[in-house]
Amino acid sequence: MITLSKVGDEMKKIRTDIINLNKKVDLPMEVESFKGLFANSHDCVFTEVMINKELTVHLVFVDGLANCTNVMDFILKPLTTLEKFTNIKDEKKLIDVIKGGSLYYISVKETNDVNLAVELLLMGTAVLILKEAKIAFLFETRGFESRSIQVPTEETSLKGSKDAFVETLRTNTAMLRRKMRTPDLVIEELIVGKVSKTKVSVSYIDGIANDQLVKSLRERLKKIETDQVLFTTVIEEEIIDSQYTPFPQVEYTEKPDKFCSALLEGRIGIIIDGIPFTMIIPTSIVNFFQTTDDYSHNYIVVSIIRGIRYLLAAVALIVPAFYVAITSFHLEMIPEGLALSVISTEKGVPFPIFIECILLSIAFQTLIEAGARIWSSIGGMVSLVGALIVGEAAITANFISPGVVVVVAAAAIANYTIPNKDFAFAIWIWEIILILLSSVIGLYGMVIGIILLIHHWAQMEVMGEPYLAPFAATDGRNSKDAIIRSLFVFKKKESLDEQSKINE
Amino acid sequence: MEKGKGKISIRQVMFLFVVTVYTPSVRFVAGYSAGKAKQAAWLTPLVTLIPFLVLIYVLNALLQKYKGLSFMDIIYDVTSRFWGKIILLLYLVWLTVLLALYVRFYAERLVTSIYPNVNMNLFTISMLLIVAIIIRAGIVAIARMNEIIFLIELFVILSLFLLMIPTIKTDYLTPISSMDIVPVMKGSIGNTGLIYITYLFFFSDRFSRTKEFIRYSLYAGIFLWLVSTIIIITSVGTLGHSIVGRSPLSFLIAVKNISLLGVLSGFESILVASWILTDFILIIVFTYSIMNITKSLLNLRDFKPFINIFFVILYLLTWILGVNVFELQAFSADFAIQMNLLMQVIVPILIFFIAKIRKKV
Amino acid sequence: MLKYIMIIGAISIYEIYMMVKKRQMKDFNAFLIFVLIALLASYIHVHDPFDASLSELLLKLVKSEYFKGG
Repeated sequence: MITLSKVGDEMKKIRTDIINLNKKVDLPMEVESFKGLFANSHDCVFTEVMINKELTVHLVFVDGLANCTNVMDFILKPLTTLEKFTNIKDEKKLIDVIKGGSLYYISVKETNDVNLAVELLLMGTAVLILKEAKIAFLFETRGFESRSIQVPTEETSLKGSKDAFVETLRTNTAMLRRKMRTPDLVIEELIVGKVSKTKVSVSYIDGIANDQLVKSLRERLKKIETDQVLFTTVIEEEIIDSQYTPFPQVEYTEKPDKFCSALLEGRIGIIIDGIPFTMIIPTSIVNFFQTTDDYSHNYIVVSIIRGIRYLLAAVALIVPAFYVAITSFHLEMIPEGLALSVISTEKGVPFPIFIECILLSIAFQTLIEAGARIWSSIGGMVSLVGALIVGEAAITANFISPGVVVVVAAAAIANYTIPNKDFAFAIWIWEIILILLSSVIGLYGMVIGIILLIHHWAQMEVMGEPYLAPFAATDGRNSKDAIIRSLFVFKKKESLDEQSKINE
Repeated sequence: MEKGKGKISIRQVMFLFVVTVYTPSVRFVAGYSAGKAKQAAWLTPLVTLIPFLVLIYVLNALLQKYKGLSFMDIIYDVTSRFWGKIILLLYLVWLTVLLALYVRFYAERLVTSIYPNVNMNLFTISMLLIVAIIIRAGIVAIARMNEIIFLIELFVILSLFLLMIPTIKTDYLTPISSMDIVPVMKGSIGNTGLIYITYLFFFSDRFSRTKEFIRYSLYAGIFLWLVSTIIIITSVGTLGHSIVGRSPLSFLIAVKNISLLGVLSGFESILVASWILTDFILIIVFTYSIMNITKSLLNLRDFKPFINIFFVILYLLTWILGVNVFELQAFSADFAIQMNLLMQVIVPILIFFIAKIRKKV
Repeated sequence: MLKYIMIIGAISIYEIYMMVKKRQMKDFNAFLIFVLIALLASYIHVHDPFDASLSELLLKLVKSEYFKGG
């Protein structure tokens, strides 16, 4: 028997083993083992429960993770007050009685594995240790404080549902079940992170999702070697194929309706315990131009708006570079009046046009960053001071020309219309690259930049799915909903079987 | 998602075909057709459909019989390995010369249109460098890029056509009579010489969904007929056949005449930008074909180590090929078109007949 | 000519190094053919031994109207 005095360094070593190597420790199922492992943890409660004079058991749980009321009412109280327990003389009989269901608890598990008990203990389970039998009963007493379901903060919706994912995994999976009452909705769970032991859920619809894709994702998740999963990128960086790109390869959402809709398209969802944003894969460029509201409005209006989004993304990407190219190299290409106007506005400005464009573009990004970081009460002031006062003063002081302001501002506003902010930021990076290439050799440089960008996209794949799909590499499949939003009437015709064929 | 990794679908092949034909069409077809068929030049693409249909019938027969094999393997099987190597050597030499011609034309076109007094080496070397980098990604990535470039091109050509409609004079396109039949036939040689589909067959081992070949070929043929007709109508209809027949970049000149609401002009910048994209596709696809022929001819394991040295040869060949643009135009009209007819229409048909005689198809 | 020899040499050294590294020396002989063609092309480009471009030679071969003038 290990006593507390023996624990010391040996236990510390074992604890380090568990943390660093994810090793299984070989300890007897005794309260001393737990005391050793949680020696300095004051939130870990060890209670000696005297059932009667001859029989004592130990109850261990983590305060804050386990629901204390449940522990008291459904475990401690029956054990110490019910006659069927107080009359028991030995542990063998106690085991039989508990197994017989005398403790009214839905989820009771018996184990002699300390590793499993520790793992569940840290998830809010109460562990009832029987000293002589060297076994423990695990009671699902989870009950910690969590945020209630609220309105989405990042993805506002006019007509769609207003619920958003929260930090608690089980609440999130329940939301999915409420929206899709089908046994085909599979919610698998894995534990990722040596230290954090975070639950990661993989959700998909059986029969629609590509089995190979699910298998591949499962394997990738299992291979993750990390200490913690406190941030989404820990998972994201492990499951994506192209690491060297600013473009997002995973779609994030805080809206269960969007998540479910993606599952119905045959995609796979990942929910991480503790993070209110869920991940959807595989993704392609088209996903970053769609919003859930697209399916809440008239399809003609939405199709036009979608088309405009693509056009505006092109404007955000190309227009500043085109302006630099035309004004610096090809003035003969624009009408005389416009050329004269451009030349006159550039008078007195000390910088070349491309420097103006880059500086101003960075200034716009600075405003966005400042707006995101600053206290909301004075957030409005940033744009007021930044855009109006500083902008006006910069033009008056001849630091920048009004033409450049118009072009860069138009590109910046066009960029804001891209629904996915990660994608919008990547487009901004390429906007700068195109400006630089245009400044070297004009229109030719810009086109070379476009070739490189298309090549970059063409090479990218997310879990084997081309990034440019459905515009490229899909032979026109799945392209119905790319720009023109198809009517649900037509969508109905595609049965689940057909959908699964498409995904194969 | 394309199931067979490293393969491209027939639909993607046809997109490659359309884009590779588009770039020389813009440069060459209007001038050549107008020179031969005068005001009836816009009818020449229609005549081209006949040899095109014959060619796709022949290629389809070979493709269906030799599934999963490249054109090189088909030639070896039909003609014997010795004669196959000789035929492939001819293809290799001719395609290299043709590619050099297009690289040179691409640079010349940029210099004459929007970069006067700029050293052509800048455009030639930078393009070859980019192609040398991107070709390593393989035909799958190239085909995907091409699908996007095709969409851009389609948007540009349709927009320009709509904008050019007011400038088109029907007097320049009529009258048409039975007297025009022979000139139209002669003028169609220019279009026929640009059916580059045979050259894409040098990587036919990478094709998937080959059963759809006829269907997509017909789509591509009709599309190219429409595009070529649009190019000729806009060029000849705006400038007249006598100017188009003599000027090297007639379509560009026609685009320069566009004036939207009498205020907006300068649309040629969009055209030139789109040309660079299509030229890139043409150069990279031809290079890929050449590299595949080289690989087969010399029994190479991988053609990647040969890309850089090949581009040095190609660069030198662009200068060896001609002194000035007029010489290149004459070469294009008086030699390249005929050679193309031979290599991409007649040789495959001959191979088909030999295969028929030897009961291989 | 020297600059072309230097470029061809640099490319050759790099590619041969990569061939050795990847153990693809089977293609070495074919690579040498390409190097020789490149050297020949650079010689023709610099010294113009035929005193005519390739187009000119081929156009003469087919008796093109290009040389008829007018």
